[in-house]
Amino acid sequence: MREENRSEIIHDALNLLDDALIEEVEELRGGVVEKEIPKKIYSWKKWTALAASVCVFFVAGAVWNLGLEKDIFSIGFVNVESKDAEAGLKNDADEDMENEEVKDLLDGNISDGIDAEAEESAITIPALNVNLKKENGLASDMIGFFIYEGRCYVQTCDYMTKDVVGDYVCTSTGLIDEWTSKDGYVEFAGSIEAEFYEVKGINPEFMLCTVYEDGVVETFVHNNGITLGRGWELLADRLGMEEEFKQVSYLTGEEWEKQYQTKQEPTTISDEHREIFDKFLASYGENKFVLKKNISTNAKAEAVYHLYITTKEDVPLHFLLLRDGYVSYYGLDQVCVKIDEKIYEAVVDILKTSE
Amino acid sequence: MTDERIVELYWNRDESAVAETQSKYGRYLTKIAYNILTDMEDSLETVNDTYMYAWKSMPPHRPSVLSTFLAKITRRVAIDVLRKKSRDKRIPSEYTFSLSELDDVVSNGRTTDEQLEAEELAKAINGYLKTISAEARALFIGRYFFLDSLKDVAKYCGMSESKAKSMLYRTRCGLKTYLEQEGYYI
Repeated sequence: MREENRSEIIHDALNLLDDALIEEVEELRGGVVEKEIPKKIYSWKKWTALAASVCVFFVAGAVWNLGLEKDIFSIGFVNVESKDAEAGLKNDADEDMENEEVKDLLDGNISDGIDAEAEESAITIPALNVNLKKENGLASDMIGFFIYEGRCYVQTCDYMTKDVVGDYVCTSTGLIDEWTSKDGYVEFAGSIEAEFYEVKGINPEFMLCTVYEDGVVETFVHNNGITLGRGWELLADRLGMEEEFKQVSYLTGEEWEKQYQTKQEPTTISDEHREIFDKFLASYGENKFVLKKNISTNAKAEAVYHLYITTKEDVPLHFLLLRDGYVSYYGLDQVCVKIDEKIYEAVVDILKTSE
Repeated sequence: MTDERIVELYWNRDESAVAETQSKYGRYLTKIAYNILTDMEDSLETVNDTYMYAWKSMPPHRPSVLSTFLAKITRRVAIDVLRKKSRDKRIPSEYTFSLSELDDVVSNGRTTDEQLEAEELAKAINGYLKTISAEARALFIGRYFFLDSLKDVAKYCGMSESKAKSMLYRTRCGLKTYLEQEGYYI
């Protein structure tokens, strides 16, 4: 039997596990005498329906009232700053704003529905500021975004090839600019007019992409107003990194900066280092997100390396190796994860020797 | 009835020990057996065999944790039954599914001595499990000791199935590395 399947040796050994370890799990299973394993009730489930029903309402402008004093307004989960768009905004002190549930949603106390197991210590990525300020009559830094199913997807400037493009999802109308009134912030509206598609293997509630005329694919991510606990909530729940990756490649920070001109392709790491990158992902998954603003300036100053971990679906997931063991995901710029420092160092050593 | 009292009944050769065990742990043990055998009749038979082994082993044995003591007997008996039954063909069960998943742990290369003692391996696995997070440990034990389905383990560990699957994969890879570092090439 053992020759047929050596995994059975492991099963035999597991029969000799420490009782204390087994007892830990017995408790989780609901106790040995209980009839059924208890079902954990996720708070997100009860909020999801509410969020879905109120999001369009928000998009239509209900939350404009919140930021009046500071000229900051929310579009769904995005804050919009405007100096010139006050006209018509200070009306409708909406009665729904008194609703505690709505306030929770605005305060980021409600998850986006993906992170079912957001922990108490989870952090909410602050709403994004979209500057609609007019300077000399022109819009300044209006960021690319669009609204779909109440979620605001934001431009990442992360480009991929057509191979990653999945099924068609929606077309944004691109009707939003600095002169748009509150009524314009509706489903499919955005600052960009384009067709959007799923990215293969990636949760479409987190990432979609568009294909430009020249064939370049850009990703848009729902990166604001979301709550994240540990790295797994990004890796597994959003990026679909469930098992093996296909390959790892990288660019140094300097190479990446110049890539726009040099078109340099990332250097592929030898497969012999797969194990350390498995550990890298495991450590990223197990550790908690922190806000970048709370880490040292040195640590977050710049990416030392840009790491591309390619999924089985050929989607290169773009991580930034910061300093002191911090790693962030490109597109989630306000948060990062501090991984095990030994693993971080081992990865950096591999990248250094591969240069 | 407390576990200590039930153990005392066994030691006193009081036949009500079996009835008390069945009352307290019957369902729990049946679930373990069923996860392996996927057949209720075989599972009930296995649980009955568990009581018999328990009766034979107490005394001299005095388990400190009765539930895990019984669970291990049930698990071992059920696996033996399955092995006998599946010599000719594989029965689809959580046990057989988990076997293929545990292939990640065994290497394709050199192997250690075929006489590798399960106790030594278990010691190494125990050592590894103590180095990982409680969450990952619970998933691993739930999936590979209790043979609960991925859906169930994810549920009682309070996470999504995809996260559980991913974490299990990383844990298996970690275990393989750990075992190799300890000199076990299975």
